[in-house]
Amino acid sequence: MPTVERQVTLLNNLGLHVRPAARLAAIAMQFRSDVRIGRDGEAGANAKSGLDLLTLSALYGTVLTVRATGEDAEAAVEAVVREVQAKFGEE
Amino acid sequence: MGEGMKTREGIAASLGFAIGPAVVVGREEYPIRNRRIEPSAVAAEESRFGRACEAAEKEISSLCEEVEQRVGKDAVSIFQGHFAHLRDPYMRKEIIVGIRRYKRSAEYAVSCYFRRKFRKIETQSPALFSARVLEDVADIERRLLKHLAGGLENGAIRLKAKSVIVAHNLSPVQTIDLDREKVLGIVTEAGGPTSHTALIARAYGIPAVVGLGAISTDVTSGDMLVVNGSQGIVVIHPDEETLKRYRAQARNFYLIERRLTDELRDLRAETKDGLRVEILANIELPEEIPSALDYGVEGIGLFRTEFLYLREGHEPTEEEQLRQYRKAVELLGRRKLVVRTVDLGMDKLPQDGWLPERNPFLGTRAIRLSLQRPDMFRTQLRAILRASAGGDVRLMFPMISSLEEFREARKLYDEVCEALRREKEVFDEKIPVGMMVEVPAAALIVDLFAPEVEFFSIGTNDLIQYAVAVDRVNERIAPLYQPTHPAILRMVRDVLAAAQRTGRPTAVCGEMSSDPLFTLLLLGLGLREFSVVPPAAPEIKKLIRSVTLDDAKAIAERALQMTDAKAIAHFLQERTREILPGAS
Amino acid sequence: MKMSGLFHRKAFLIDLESDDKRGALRELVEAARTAYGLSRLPVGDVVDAIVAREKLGSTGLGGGVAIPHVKCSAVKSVVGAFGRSARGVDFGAVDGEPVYLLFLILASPARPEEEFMEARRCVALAVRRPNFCKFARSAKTGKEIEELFDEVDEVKAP
Repeated sequence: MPTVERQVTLLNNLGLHVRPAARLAAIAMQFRSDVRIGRDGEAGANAKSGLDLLTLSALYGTVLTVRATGEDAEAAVEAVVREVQAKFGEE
Repeated sequence: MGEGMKTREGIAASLGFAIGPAVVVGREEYPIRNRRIEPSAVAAEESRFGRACEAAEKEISSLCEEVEQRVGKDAVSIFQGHFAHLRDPYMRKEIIVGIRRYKRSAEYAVSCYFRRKFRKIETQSPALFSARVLEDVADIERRLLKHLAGGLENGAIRLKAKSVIVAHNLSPVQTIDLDREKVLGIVTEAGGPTSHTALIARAYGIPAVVGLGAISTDVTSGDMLVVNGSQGIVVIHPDEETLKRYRAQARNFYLIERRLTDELRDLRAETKDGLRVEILANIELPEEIPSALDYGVEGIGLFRTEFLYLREGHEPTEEEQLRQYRKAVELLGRRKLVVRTVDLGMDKLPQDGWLPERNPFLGTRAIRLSLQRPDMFRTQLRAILRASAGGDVRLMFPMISSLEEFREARKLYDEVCEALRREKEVFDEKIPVGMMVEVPAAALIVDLFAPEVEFFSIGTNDLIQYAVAVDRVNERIAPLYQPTHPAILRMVRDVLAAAQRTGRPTAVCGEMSSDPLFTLLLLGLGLREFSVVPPAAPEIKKLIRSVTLDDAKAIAERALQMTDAKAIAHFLQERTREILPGAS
Repeated sequence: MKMSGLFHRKAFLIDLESDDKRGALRELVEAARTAYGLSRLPVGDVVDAIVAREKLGSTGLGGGVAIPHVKCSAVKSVVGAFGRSARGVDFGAVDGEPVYLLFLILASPARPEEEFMEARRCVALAVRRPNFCKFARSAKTGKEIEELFDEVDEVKAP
């Protein structure tokens, strides 16, 4: 099964706080692949769990690695990356 | 505890004054009664957890509605995120596993899950750790535990007598549920002017000061406090004099200020003999502008830009800054907006790879930092200029200590203008560029600055600290900080005189300007532009309207002859009262 | 300042006997006296002083926690004693609830005020952490509580 990985920088003023984490989880949930978001080479958090994403405690400027494994891995990574780039619709 | 009086500064979150005993409040918590359950009880426990989740969700939904009605749309987003996380399927699954496989009680399973989450968040290195996220996750856990405990609100603050509440932070629900009869004021360590505590305190008319930093641990329940929600000051163990002054201010506020504000809003600030004076406001955020205008100011004499740099994490981009400056310009229309470039030091704005300073207050701060970080400075200047189109924007530099320094800053400014022109950006080409007069060295050579500096603004707060060599935050010697020190009177007089001779407009934007005690003095010393905290504007306007210029000059002349700061203050108080009984 | 430094293991009472405020305070002050070798500490007087101060305003912050504190000349710097009550002690706390976790702080009047404040802040920050109190209350052994204190110290407070 394909694994797709991309990096994206968090440009959101307040970082990955409660609302963005919830939005990201909602987006990741639409896909069948396993999706993980991490940083600094760590295994990372389960992107479908908003609370797990919050433990990343990621602030502005953090470079996140989005990795998905599964049939729709490409689409999943694309959707997540786009949401981050769009600053979760906050600004 | 028999300690001396202490004054702390925070953010003025809700206007008014309160005097009363403190009640220090800790966080609300739900205990874990049992950790383990019998195997036979597993199914029931799972159901209990499920029902608690439903109840929690229902509560948040109705809370969203209530908050939206009582406070407004902005406050609601706090809760929407919480709602989503309560439904996190992975969280639910892990807790069910805890119950089913490890025979944990629901409370214990929830607590263990969240404890793991907290540890992950907290063991990030300090630079990455977000206290706010921790608080939010703790709130989510608390809500689940509350409904497992039957849904009754715990940690309700039950006051036995009228008190001032002191806490690290108040949860939205704690704030909404306060017994308004018994709460005299609210003081919190965390929070800002738009936090829910501030919003709700304002809606209820309870004076509040937030963002004080450490204070809930320095105050013990029972300590007497003064809460000055209009200026963001809290006084612990106030002495008699301070108590008297605040009691009068409190009376004033509730009886007179409201009426006064409405009465005076549209009247001109001019003396009895027709001398026109300008009253402007000091603000920190664009959002303060409507309320400032409501107090009857004519424009903004000091727009502090530090807030842009103090937000979590990063230096503001040009676009981020532009948005805020434009917001301000739009709210003011053609009214004056004096923007001060960032006034921070390395204590609040540490620089990558730069060694920390032993004395950041006399170090690389304000204009010095901007000049050593020209990229950052240029970004700010570009944003201010781009926002200037269609408004009446003026620019000033803080902490200027020499003509060379001003010239260096001005040169960068001119380069930025040139660049914007090349890029065909629209901006106001004729923005006046001025400076703060707050370093004594600069105050002494205003005449040398005048040919090149288009306006001045006297920052008495720092001027007094530098001139008298006193750190006003140092409790032991804070009493030495005296605006009525004869040296300060002379300095202000001389700066105003020098500026007047050269035709350069000069304002006073320090606290001295906002204190009605000094209004007549400043007027008599030559001041024609007061930049004040908005709530002070009506009273100052009233004072000015109650005297002739000669009256004010006589007061100033007498004060200049006196040698004792306290005696001068006393004298000013007497003369002010004669002219306007009921004033401070 | 660290919790594990402030509270010696010997000054941990994980099961207070008294149900009343004065009794609980007495146990704590005695524990401090023993743990820190403060033979000259006048237990009765110190307890009186604390009780008198509590009358002016309770150090029961709510949530079952109290941080009684007092200056005491028998102490050389600043020390703490921790006590846990299973049934709860009536401390006149702000939420009207009993107190289950008590953190006593004794400081020398000869030392700088800042040290005393530091100690109080250290404890206030610890109890403010989301896990601390409920795990402290439900812990089975003193060792578990020690681990909680260590966990607090590990974390750099914001």
